[in-house]
Amino acid sequence: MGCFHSKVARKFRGHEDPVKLASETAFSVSEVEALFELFKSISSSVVDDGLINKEEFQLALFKNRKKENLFANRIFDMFDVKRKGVIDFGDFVRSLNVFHPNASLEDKIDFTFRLYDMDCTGFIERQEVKQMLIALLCESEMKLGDETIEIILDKTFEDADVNQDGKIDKLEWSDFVNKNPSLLKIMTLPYLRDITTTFPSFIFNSEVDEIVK
Amino acid sequence: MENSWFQKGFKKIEEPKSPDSMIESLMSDVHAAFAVQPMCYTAFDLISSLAQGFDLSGLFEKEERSGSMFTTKKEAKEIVSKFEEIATSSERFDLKKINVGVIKMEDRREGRKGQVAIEVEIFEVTESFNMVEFKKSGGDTMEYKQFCDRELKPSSKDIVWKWQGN
Repeated sequence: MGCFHSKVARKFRGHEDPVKLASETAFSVSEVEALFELFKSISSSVVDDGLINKEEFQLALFKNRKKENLFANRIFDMFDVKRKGVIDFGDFVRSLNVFHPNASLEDKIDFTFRLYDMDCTGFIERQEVKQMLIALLCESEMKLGDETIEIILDKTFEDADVNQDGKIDKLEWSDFVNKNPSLLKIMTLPYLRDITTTFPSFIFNSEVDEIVK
Repeated sequence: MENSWFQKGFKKIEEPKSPDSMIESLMSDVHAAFAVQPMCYTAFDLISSLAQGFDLSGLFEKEERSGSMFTTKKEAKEIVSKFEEIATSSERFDLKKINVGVIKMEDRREGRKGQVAIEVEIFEVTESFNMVEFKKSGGDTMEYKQFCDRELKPSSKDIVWKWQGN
């Protein structure tokens, strides 16, 4: 075990152990290694420090590091689990895990709830949805009158806010998403299934899997 | 059949519809395409469809994805008319309504992998703010893409407000 083990250790020094990450997620060890290739390219694009900062995230997503975006910021914050302002490899793998086609519906529903609950109050308030809607219209360069925006919010809350208290709680959200499953389409990345082909890693993949099995 | 035991659970089978009446109902479906009732689109539907910042496929995809969704300020029946127009001027596609808010365009000709078919779905945000999504529902992908790029997209310009991804 000595030879390959030290190669793996060297490659992942300073980052979480891929075997541990694989055991805690839907990814195999080789898939975690493939994700490391992706992580490396994103995290070194602006500052080569083994961490993904906001600019690097924006660059990876929009091919434009200066593009500030409310929605990308929300995702960044969700991935930045330890609230350090940067995403490390462990955060990256564990967060992407929820986007795996095999991840549970519950996890995906929970993620989207926290995503939309911008101020983390445990409820999705009308004001939050309004803010997101306005940001969306702004970035898409679509102008809508205040009245129309209110109509859209009314319809949305009529549908989702069952007890009509002006906010959507976890249960209401869960019911709402179950009735409208297309709302979860952002939560599944089919690319994660073919990750080892998209980001081949030239470490002893098959051997690692053999030994781990 | 007189024996009561045979009559237990016996259901009279209705006479099958005559070919004529079936054609009639198909035709009324086609005409009813003008009365397409769109599905309701909430703020969350808008956000999840249009917010590029929520679309992590950008981390993996290198090429630009060709849009198949657009917002429009036109009402549902105008949208349907536009697609009818596109179908008619293509001289190969027929239009029919298949479901609530869904219309189908089907190529009369057989292509490399059968008839190219396109499903167009209309989602209502408000009466004068709709979302239109179209996708291939049959036939060869390249032939579908060619039709979209050469005819469908250019011809739908006057009803498009914003394309998804732009």
